[in-house]
Amino acid sequence: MVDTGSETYRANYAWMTREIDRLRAELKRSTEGGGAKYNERHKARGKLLPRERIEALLDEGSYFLEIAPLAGIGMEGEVPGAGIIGGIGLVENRECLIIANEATAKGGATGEPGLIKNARLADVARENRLPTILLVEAAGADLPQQSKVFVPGGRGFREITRRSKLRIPTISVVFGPSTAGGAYLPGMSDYVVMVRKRASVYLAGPPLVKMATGETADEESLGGAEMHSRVSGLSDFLADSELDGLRIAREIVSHFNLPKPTVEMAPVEEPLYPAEELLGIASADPRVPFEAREIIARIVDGSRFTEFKAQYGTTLVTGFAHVHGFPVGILANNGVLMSESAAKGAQFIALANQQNIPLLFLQNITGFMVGRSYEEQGIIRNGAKLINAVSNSTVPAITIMIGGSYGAGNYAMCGRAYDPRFLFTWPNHRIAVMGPQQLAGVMDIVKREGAARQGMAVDEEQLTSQKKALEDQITRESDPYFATARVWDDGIIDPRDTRTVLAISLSAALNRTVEGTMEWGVFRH
Amino acid sequence: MIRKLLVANRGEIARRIFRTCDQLGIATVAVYSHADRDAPHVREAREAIYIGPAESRDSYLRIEKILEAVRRTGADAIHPGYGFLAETADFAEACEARGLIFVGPRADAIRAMASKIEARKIAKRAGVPVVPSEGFPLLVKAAAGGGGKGMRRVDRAEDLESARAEAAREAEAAFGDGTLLIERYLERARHIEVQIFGDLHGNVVHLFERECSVQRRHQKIIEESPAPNLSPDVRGALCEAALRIAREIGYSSAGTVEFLVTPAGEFFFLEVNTRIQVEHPVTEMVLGFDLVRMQIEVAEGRALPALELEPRGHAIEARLYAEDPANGFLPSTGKILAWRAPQGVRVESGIERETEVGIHYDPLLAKIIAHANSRAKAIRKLRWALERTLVHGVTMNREFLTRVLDHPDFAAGSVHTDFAITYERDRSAEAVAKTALDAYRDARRQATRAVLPHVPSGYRNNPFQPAPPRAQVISCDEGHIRVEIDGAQYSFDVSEDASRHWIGDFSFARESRYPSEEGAASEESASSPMPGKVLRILVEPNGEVQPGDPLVILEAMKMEQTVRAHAAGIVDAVLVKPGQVVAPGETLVHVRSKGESK
Repeated sequence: MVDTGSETYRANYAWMTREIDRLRAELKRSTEGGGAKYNERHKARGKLLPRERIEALLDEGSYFLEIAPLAGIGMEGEVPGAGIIGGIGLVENRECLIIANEATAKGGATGEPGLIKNARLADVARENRLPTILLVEAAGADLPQQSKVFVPGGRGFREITRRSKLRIPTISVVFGPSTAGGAYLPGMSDYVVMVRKRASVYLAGPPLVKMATGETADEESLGGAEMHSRVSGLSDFLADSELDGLRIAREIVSHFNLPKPTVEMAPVEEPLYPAEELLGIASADPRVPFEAREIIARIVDGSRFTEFKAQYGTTLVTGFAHVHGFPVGILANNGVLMSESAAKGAQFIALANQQNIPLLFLQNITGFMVGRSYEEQGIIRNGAKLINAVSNSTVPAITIMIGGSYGAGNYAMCGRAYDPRFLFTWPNHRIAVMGPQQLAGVMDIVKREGAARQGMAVDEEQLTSQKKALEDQITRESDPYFATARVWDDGIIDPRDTRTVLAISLSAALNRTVEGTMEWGVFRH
Repeated sequence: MIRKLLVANRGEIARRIFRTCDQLGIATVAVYSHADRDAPHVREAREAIYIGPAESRDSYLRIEKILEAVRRTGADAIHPGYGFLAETADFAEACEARGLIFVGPRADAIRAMASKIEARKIAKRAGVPVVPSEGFPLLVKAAAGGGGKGMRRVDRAEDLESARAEAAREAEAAFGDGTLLIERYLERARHIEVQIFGDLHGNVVHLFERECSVQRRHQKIIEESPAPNLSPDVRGALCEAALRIAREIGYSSAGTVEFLVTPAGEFFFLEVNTRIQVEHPVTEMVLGFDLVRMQIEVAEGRALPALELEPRGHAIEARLYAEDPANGFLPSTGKILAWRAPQGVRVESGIERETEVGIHYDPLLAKIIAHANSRAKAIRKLRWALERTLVHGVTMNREFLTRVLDHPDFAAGSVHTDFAITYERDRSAEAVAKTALDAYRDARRQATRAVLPHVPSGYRNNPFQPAPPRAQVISCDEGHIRVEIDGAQYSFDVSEDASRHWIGDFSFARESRYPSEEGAASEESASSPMPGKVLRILVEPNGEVQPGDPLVILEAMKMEQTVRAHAAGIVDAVLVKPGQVVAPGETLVHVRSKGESK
């Protein structure tokens, strides 16, 4: 039971509330595009803002789970959302990935963070077999950043056609310029809708054509919607207006014949415990542990959890539950990973694969246990088992970082490098190879030992300031905003939304047939 | 004895007559027009015969078709109901000639009263005062009419001619007879009528009065019996006058003698309705017997029994019409999506769920009749009943009726035929209904969503626009919602059709999220589909075209290709000449949609 009157609970709750306020402020900023002035100018041209286009495309009352909304935050040349809005929502009752260019910010030009985010969105579409709707109004590459984006940028176009081959369709609705490389967005798409008098799609605009061949041509004749619909054939549907284009996109989706694979569903039940209490349960300080079962009780249907091996390897909680009726196998850290808990995790992952049950990782991990006796007992060998299982598992996995994510624990608990289908974090989450004080302390010891070997005296003052600087650097780099800016995750969420976000993620993931594996790398026993 | 009775009518009155027939063991025959194929009255009769298209003049007003239905079914009696052929003497005569029992007065009585001019003469003979025909304001009305059709009030001499012309046209259209009657318009007069009843043996009785002063557009909407605030002397004199007229014409069956009663207590004969009246149930309720049954028995030759009549309590009827009180009482048409009659009162209705309320017939949906031991209690009961009546699919006058019942003048029993209330929709109630409708639509969308129905509606992890405020839904099923709005709970029934949502008393147009496709084609021009040569041009500038009309014939790929218009419009310009070679996509003809300026 959680004592909601306790000092710890109240302190955590107060801290988390402040962090959520900060998150909301940052998110709000991410929705403002190029700012009021550019937004007004955009609207004055009779155009919808990219987010208005998304709202008008979605089914009424549909959810929209935005992926990596804070990508690029705090990075050089930052634009809100890295210049792209991408997320999952319902169009004609079908889960689709919607990607819109943030046209009011730098004309929708893509920089490096945008490229990373685009690549992530392409993964989401492919891995979960989600039809993709591109709402195109893009200036193409951010030219001053061309050295960073030109070469890897090609991937985006490749991904569209590879998805096409996998029968995952892409629709482009072109609302404005989509030029040069950007022209291949519609070019590679399965369905292209162009908005009359708005779309302009060409390899080279009037100035470049004039330069190259001396031909004088206006935008409309070079790449207008009429020309592409009547003459070039690049456009399949000619829309009269932006809204008409969105209507056409919906109509196209309504004709898809892509039945969703089925899983055995349970009746949906709300948890018995309020999600609000998550704010006081999760520790503000990543070094203070908290009970994983209290988190599970506030996320799963009916707070029902069938715990597997409850008395064995107790620092990893494993068991079966349902979220919004979907079956899930949960692995949640409840302390540092030991040999037994790692082995138990590997066994549990194999079971979930045998039964085609999606996995949920609740990560709150400082790492694997260290020390002589643990090394002797084979902590590496057992940790490797868990990493082997996580790496080769083929059921969809969703990871929520609810606290610390340090060291090999990040890998063993299905961190980004292990390709969970979705990965979200809480505001109290911290991520690094180890804790800042630990890391700075290790470096301090290494330096002192180095000095001792060389017989040199240590400059205590310098060492102290170096240690402090390093600790500050690691603290900054462990911050959830630092992580989310680099798309190490799919976004920071309000802990109270965890169940909803999880349900949307699970449902999206289940658009691809769950095929658990019975084949693994060689287990080191 | 009647064995099988055909009702030459439709709607509530046909159903009401069938009900009495069922009690008496008389077999029933309905007739129906094309529009009424699925009407309740058709299903409730034992036999049903098709008599023609929807227009009344081709069906319910066609004597020979009704008689053909009689022949086919072997019916031995006809009840004409009210309206249609009820007061057509030729019809009654045709029935008499074929040996059929006509459940109504004799043809000569109908004929005598059919003309208001003739009726005035008879009233005078019977010593009953008639409305003076000189002085202003005047009322111009159809001599053959009823139901307010062909009626015009004229306040100034110079308006008389145009009013006469309009009324004559309307009368001609409605009754096939443009003859007019002009009478003084008596201001602040009450409309009081006396129910009379005669048999074939010369007995005539009166069944007391009904007050029908609440009208809109000269059409009664609330009727009651007894008339409030009527002195026993005036009541007695009215009933006596009605009897004198009935005797003068040797009246048989049910009829009504209408009077105008001035504030001073003077009364004037208006007309006689030689049929069962729409408002006959109020008389039935206070007297406790069935007037249709009496009609049938009298028609079978039975003498009127010696009746010791004393009205008991007070009965009041409200007519629920498919019309929009906020828009000049314009009739409203549509399919009934939901219909729930109130309990504890008498309801005579012609509708059910799915009934089409069309343009061809009277828009009366139902009559609701409350009876209690005092007028105030009857009004309260009727009001309660109206509040519990549900009709979705057409706009109705229910709210208007309750406002009339709430009016202090009505409560005081001091209304007259000029009584009118200013009616506006209740905007605050409308706003509550709209809020509830939004909540309903949202809740239903959620409940029926195939994907993640339990994820909160409109969930955003990164909200862009503030979520619209929603009413707190207490419960919601298909067609019903209970919500809490601003600390108060409300229940609503909800229906929808292709164009509107109906909630409680209100309806709201469905709004499309996207522009309509029709609008899209408005500025189409015709262009060539492929490279080719113009063979012929089939239109000229300023010519009108319809969608699909051929504009230009091209020769392309050795074949003739016809370029057609996408939308209706006017040819603005022809941009090519015969023999000219054109490129694909080249505009050949500019077509301007009609609304568009040059």
